[in-house]
Amino acid sequence: MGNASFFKQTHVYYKKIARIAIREKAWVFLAFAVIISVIVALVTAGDMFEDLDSTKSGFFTLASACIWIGVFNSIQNICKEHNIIRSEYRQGTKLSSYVCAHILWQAILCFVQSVIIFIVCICFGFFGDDFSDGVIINPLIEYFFTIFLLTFGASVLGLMVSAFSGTPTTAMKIMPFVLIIQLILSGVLFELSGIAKNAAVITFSKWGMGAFGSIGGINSLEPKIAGELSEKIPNFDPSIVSATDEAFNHDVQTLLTAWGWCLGLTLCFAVIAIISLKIKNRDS
Amino acid sequence: MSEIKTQMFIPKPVRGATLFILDNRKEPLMLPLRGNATVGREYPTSDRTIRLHSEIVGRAHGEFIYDNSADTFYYIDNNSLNGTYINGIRLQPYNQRGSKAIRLSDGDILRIDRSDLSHPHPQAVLMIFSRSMEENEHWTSLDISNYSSVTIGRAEGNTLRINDDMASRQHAVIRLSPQGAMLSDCDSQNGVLVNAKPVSKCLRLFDNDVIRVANTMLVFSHGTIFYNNAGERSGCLSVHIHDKTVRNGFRTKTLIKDINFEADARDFILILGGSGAGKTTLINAVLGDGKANAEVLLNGQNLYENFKTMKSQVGLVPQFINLRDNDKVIATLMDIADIKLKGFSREEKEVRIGKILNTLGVENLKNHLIRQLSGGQKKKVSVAAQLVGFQKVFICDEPDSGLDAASRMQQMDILKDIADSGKIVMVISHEPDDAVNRETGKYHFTKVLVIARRSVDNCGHLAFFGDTDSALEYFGVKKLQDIMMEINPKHEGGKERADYYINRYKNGVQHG
Repeated sequence: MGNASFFKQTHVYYKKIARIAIREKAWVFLAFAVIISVIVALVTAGDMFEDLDSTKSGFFTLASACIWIGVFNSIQNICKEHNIIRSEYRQGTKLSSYVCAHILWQAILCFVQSVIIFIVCICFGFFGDDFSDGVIINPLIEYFFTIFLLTFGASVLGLMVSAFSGTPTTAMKIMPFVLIIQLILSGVLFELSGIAKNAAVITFSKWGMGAFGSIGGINSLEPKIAGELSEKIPNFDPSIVSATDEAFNHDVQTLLTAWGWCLGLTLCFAVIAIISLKIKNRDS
Repeated sequence: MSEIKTQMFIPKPVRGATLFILDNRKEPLMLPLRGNATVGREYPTSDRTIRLHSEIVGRAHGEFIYDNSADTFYYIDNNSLNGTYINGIRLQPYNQRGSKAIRLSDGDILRIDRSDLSHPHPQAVLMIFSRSMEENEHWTSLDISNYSSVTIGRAEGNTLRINDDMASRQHAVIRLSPQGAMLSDCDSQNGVLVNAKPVSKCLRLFDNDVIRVANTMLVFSHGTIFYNNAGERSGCLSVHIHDKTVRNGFRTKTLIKDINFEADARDFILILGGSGAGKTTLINAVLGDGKANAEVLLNGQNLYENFKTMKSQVGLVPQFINLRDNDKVIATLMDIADIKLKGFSREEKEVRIGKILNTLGVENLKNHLIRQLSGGQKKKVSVAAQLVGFQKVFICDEPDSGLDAASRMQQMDILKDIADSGKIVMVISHEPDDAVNRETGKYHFTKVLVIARRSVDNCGHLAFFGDTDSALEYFGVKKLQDIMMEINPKHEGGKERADYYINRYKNGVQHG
């Protein structure tokens, strides 16, 4: 009973969203991906895998760029259509189909953006030159998958914010807070403890950093200070200042945990987006 | 001391209703109801208006009572031996005369039967009260006792073919076995109702069960199905709003109160009211968007109770266009058709959309982007988007706002055409005098609803509901626009006579 099925409606909405996005110059988002990844690679690629701190900073910058690109992709997509959605919903369309269609489009957009980011990083030697030791498969595939998960997850986060924002203006006001939370709770800029440490589990930056660190095996790198002290102090033992972080262990469990959290958060944000829209339109 | 004139009561014309009766004669009978009517068993000296052929009906079983002031029918059971069931609930004795008077709504099912309606009496009587069925409606019978299954739907090849776009290609199926007849909904677009309740999967049918498939009513009785196959039946809207309140902190504010009106197919209703009188609250209540303490019946079905399945039958053309700017007109409409017209082929959808665009005069714009259209053209596409589905009621919130005079008149012409095609169209407009037939000079509107804020309780009340000529006479004005002058407060340039008109309408009197 009712209108077309969930899958049919998702298909209709997907075609509409893709058609309009292309007409609204979706290539701009691809251009952003090129520009941002070139800037990130230019600034950080030279110091990658030289020492722990520079490599961590490099990966953190890349993760942040992916999150920024993802959130920016979608932050206005739903909020600008609230009146249209309400009208369509009362005609019997499914909000879940609408959100899923957006997610599908974002998946494709993010995939292309991830390819761009990945190629730029390869060209600038961001991932180093040793690709022999992947955690599960080839490290290049693992890097690419992590970039995609971060960009796509952040896009769905953007959709969620867009779903509960009343207007595009509100969404754009919320966006900096979302990004700042991601940066602060990544655990790279500051040592986290207590509530902040627990809250960090719901950030893509923490798990993205974990995945990059695990693939890159950054626990085997020495801190920058170790190199500096080695130059000044003869027979200096670098292990004195080295400290490994479990979050960056170069093993399958660490990487799968990071990827799993990214996927889980993406799913949660998608569900929250649908629920948020249902609450907003509960009278219809 | 001023002389108080006696005011003359002028009864409104009876709108009437129709009663479908199936008794021991085993043939459906349609009776017009034009006022009070008594119900009893047929016997040689019976003086009952409605005489039923059944031994379980009392000599003076019950009564239909017509209330002229509210244009409403009621039914009373006269404490009969076997009682009367309305929509499955037996009327209980209230006093020595009979039960309480129950207000009847379009589609109510009255049965004189056993207490267990799943084991009907062989001489049980079924009556369906209707304000949307015609008294000369043709009913067909189909003896299904020799079938193993009966398919019901729009497509050719169905045992029972329904000539109605609201019906799915194969809408429902009745499977017959020694255990009985089982009805299943074939995942239809608009669902199946049995005795006014939606069928979710499969349901056993009993004698005198009333099945509703789209606009067609089917009665299952003793191995026979009687059905009316009415095609795209017109709508009948009945609105009874007790009040609509909102919470503002710890205070509860009443926005509108005591608004009752009924509309039939082809009614083109103008909603007039000053700022803050409650026009938007009223249309939201009718839409079901801002549910009020109310009963909104569409062809006898309660909109609020069946909101999920019925909400798409009441469409809103909003004041501000809700269309995606960067999509083409045809793509916008095809997407709506893809979602709403389940079971239609692509060709059928294209034909339907082509007809709509042609009717609205925007066929040449179908390949334009929405953002390339003018304000008037966008409004037409917005109307087209609503027409793709099967709305019976159209509510248009200022469809003429922001348009030049010629476009306003054209927009109203279009809405009048939509009403004439069998829909109910309700319009909020601040330029009602544009809606005139240019040849006859008569208003397009068939009815006018005036809502005004009463100073005592500061909430919106009905100040008038009736036909256009009566409205002009009632307010003593020559133009519809001037009604606003009568009811608007002085600081808005009006005569501030809202209280007078509200009270006068409530008392149901007209000047003598």
